[in-house]
Amino acid sequence: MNTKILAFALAIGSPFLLADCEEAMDVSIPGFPDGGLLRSGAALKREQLKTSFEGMFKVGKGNSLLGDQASVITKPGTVSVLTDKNAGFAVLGAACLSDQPVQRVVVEGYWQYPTRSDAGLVRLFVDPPEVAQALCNGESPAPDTGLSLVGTYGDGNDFPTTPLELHWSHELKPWRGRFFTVAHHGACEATDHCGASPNSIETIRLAERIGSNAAELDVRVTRDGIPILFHDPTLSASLVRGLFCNGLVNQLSFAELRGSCMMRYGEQIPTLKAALDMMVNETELEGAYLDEKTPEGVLPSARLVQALDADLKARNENDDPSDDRKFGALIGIPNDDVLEAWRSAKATLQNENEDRVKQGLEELPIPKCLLEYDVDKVITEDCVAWGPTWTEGPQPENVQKLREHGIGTIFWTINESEFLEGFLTTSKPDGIITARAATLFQLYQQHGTVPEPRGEQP
Amino acid sequence: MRFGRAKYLGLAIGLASAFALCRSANAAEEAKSATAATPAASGVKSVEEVANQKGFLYYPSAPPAGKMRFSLGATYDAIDPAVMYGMSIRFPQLALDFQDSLGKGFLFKAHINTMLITNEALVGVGYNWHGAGPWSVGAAINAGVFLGKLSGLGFDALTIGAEYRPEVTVGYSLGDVALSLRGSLILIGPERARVGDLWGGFDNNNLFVGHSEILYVENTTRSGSVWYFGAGAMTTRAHYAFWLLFPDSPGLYTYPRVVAGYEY
Repeated sequence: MNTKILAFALAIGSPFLLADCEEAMDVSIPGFPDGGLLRSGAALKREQLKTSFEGMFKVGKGNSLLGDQASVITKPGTVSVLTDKNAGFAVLGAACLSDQPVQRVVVEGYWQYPTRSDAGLVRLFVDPPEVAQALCNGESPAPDTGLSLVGTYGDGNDFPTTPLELHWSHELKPWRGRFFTVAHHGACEATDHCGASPNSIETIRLAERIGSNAAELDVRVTRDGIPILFHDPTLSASLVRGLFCNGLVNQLSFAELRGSCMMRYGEQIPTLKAALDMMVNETELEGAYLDEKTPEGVLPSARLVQALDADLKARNENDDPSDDRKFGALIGIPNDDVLEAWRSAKATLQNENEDRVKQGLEELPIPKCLLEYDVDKVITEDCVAWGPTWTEGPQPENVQKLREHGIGTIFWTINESEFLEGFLTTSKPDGIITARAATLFQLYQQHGTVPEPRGEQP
Repeated sequence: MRFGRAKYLGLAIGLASAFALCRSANAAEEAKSATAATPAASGVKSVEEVANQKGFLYYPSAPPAGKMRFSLGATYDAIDPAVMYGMSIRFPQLALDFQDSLGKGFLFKAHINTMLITNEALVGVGYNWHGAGPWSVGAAINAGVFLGKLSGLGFDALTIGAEYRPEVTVGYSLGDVALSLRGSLILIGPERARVGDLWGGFDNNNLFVGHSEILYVENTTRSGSVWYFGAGAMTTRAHYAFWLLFPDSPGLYTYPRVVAGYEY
C-alpha cells in the first residue's frame, strides 16, 4: 500500500517539478547608449516627415531583415518602416545634424520582430545630400525615386554594422480615412514581446507607430461604474501583476484596482476616458472600436463617446477644414445582451436630448454602433459597421450586401499573413483587426482594394 | 513566475517521494523477487505477471506475440489563459489506446485522443526491453493526423496537419504498481487551416511543436486489467494547445497535464 501512496505523491508532485514558468518576459527595446545622433540634431517637423518620407521603398541591402519591399509611414515625431516579414517594424526618429561640415539628416531608432523578441538598433541617413540639405533648410521635398535611406542595423544593443538601404519606389495607396488597420487591444498580443501590455496607453501609442490607424479596445466597468480597458473578467495573472491584485474586475472599485494592480509591463490600467483623450489629443489615430465586454459598460461608454463627439464637433467648427480632427469611436456589440443594453442606452440618450431641446439646448450627437454578429441586425439597428469573426470565413456576399447599405465591414482578428492576404483579396473589407499591424499594412499596400471614401465620419 | 510557489511545493513533495522511494526500493525489490512470478497475497497480479501476459500500455513490457491491450482514459490540460486569450473554460479529452504485441518486444500501437473539435489519431511501432529486474525501457515512433474542426459558435473552420511523435519510456516496477516516465516529442507539419472557403497556413509553422514528460502509475488488479493515472508537463506552442483561435505566437508554453484510465 505504501508503494501506491508513494507513486501517488510522485505523480502529483511531478507536474509541478516538470512544469516551469512560462517564457520569461525578455523584452528589451534597444537604444543608443548616449541617446544617439538624434540627441544632437534638430527634429524634423511633422509635415516634413509626412511629405518627404512616406512611400513604398525597395530594400537594396538588409533584405534578411525587411524582405524585398517595405512601407514607410510617419507619425508625429517618428518615421516607421513596416514589413510583412515576421510582422517586423522599425520605429525611428529623424533629425537634421547641422554641427557637421555637411548637413545630414539622420533617421535612427530600433527594429523589432514582436513575435520573436528579436530587436536591434537602426541608423540611416537621407541620401542624396541635396535632399538632406533641403530638409535641414526647413523644406519638405516630395520624395522621388532618387530618395534613399542608407545606413546600418544591428542586433540587440550592439552598435549597428549590417548594411541597410531603402530606395523610394512609389507612393502608398490611400489608407487614412479609407482602410482601417485596427490594433487588436493595442499593438501586440499578450503572448508577444512588444514591451507594452494589451489595452494600455503605451500599446495604443505603439500601435499607431507600427501601422494602425484605429484601435480595438476592451471595455469593462469597475464596481463603481468607471469604464476601464481590460480584456478578461478576472484579474488574470497573464495580464496583471500585484500581490493583492485578484478577483473579478467588476467587484473592485476603480481606486482598489489602481491601488492593487499593474499591467503586465508595469503600466496602470487605463480608464476609457483617458485612452480616448490620449488617442484624440496625442495621436493621429482615426478610430476606436470599443469592444463592450459587459452590458453594464455600454451606457457609461456611450456617454463618454457622446461627450467626445460633442468636443470634436466644437473643435472642428472653424473655417479651415484641414485643421479638423477626424476621429470616431464605435460602440462594439458582440452579443444580444450587449445589444439590449445598447438599445436602452440609446433610448436614454435620446430622451436626454429631448429634455435638452425643451431647455433650448443643442442636441448632443448619439454615438454609432458596430455589431459583430447578425448581418440583418446590423441594418435594423442602424449600425455603421459590421465586425464579423474571421473564423467564419471571408463572406464576400455579406460584405457586399452591407456595402450597398453604406455599412462597412471590419473583420476580427486576423494575424496570419496568408489569411490577411486572402481576406483582403476575397472580401475587400473596410478594415481588419490584427495584432500584426505592420504585416497588414504592407499586405494592404500590395494586395488591398482602396475602399470608397466615407465623407466626414471615419 | 506563475508556478513559482507551486513548483517549490512540488519540489518538496518530489524530494520526499524520492527519499521514500530510495528507502522502499530495496524492500520492494526483495518483495518483488519473492512475488515476481506468483500472485501477490492480496490476489492482485504482479507487474511481472501482467508484463508477461497482456503487457502494459506505459510500463515497457514484452508480452507474447498476439497479446492485445485496449485502454479507455481521459486527459486534462490546465492551459495558461495567456495562451487561450483569457478563456477559462477547459475541456477534458477522451483517450483511446490499442496495443498488439508482435513478439520479441516489438509492438504495434494505435492512439486517439479527442475533445470532438480537436483530435489526434496516431499509429506506430515500438520496441520494449524488459529484463529480469524492475527496470525496463522502451521506444516508439508514431505518426498520424492532428485534426480540428468546428462548424458553429462563430466558426466555420478546420485545421489539419501530419503529426509525428517519437517517444522514450523508462519503467520501474514496485511489485504490483508500475511507474513509467515517458518523454515524447510532438512534431507537426505540414499544417493547413480553412475558414469558410479560404485555406491558408500559419506564419510561424514549425515542425517542432513541443514535448511532454508524463509520469504514469499503473496499478494491477486481480483480473489482469490495469487502472492508471499520471501527471506531467506539456510544453507546446500555442496553436497545438488550443487551435481554435489560431494564436500565432511561436513561443513555447508549459502547462500541467493529468491523465487517468483503464486498460482492458
